[in-house]
Amino acid sequence: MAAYISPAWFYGYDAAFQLLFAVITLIIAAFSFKVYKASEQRPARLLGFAFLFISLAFLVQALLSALLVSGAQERACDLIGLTLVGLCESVGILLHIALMLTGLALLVLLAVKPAGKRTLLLLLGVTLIALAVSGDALLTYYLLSSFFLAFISWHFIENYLSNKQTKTLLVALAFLFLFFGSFHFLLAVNHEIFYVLGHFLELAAYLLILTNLYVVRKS
Amino acid sequence: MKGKRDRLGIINDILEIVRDKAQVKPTQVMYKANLSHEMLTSYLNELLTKGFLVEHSDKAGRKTYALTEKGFHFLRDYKIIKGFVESYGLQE
Repeated sequence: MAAYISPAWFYGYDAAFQLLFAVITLIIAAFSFKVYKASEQRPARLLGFAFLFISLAFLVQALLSALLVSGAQERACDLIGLTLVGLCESVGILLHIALMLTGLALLVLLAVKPAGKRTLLLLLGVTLIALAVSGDALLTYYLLSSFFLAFISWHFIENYLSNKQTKTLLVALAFLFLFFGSFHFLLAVNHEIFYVLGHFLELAAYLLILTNLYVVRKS
Repeated sequence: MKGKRDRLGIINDILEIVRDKAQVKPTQVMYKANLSHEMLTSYLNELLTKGFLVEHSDKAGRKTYALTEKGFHFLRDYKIIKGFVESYGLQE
């Protein structure tokens, strides 16, 4: 994915950013499952799966970015039986998109109460159709993720307004940063500097999420 | 038990009452947790199903409740659970 919109000097750094995001989101997923195990609060399990999918999406993206930098994509493609490098990259990009949008759809479910499997299937179905009929899957993906993140941010802002605490503010701000970050990726299709800005906004967001975890654990 | 309690707060109150008394009758829980009979039944059923409480019956068929290991863990980690659940608005 980075091959299309990243400035050349940012190659490699983007992979490091994405790997860091994968680790942070994996930590949040693990903590959510721990909270679910201790409390049996089903939304905690949903949050855990959402962050797990997002973590896997970042891991795939980091691998793709790293392969592009190392020039080892041909060997990696051979390993999974795909001889055409372009096709291999497309498979990787689509896998990243599928994992990220599933994670975001699960977060949207948190904001839709009561949410059920039908709502999730509806969200994923509409997303899949939009991607399938779109001429530019990458642009559609950034549009969809921006829309999902706007909806999710709205939920977390409402959560903050109904319960004004540092921890709820941290999460609301984090998702606002993720929304603006996603919006920057949308602009990056034409101006590659926004790809870098998007990564820094995401970094700020995930550091806020990590800070929230620290605040919660210290309470 | 001051102020308006959320679901997680009510569960915490019930488990604290059961822990403090070791074996407790449902009526004692109902009065101490300030719950209606209907709410108490619903919460007790949920806590039994989720494995936080265990039910015992004496020879006369009177029911008492005790805390399980999972229930003790919940009380130990309650502040962290509450903090995390509130952060993301995960209340059921």
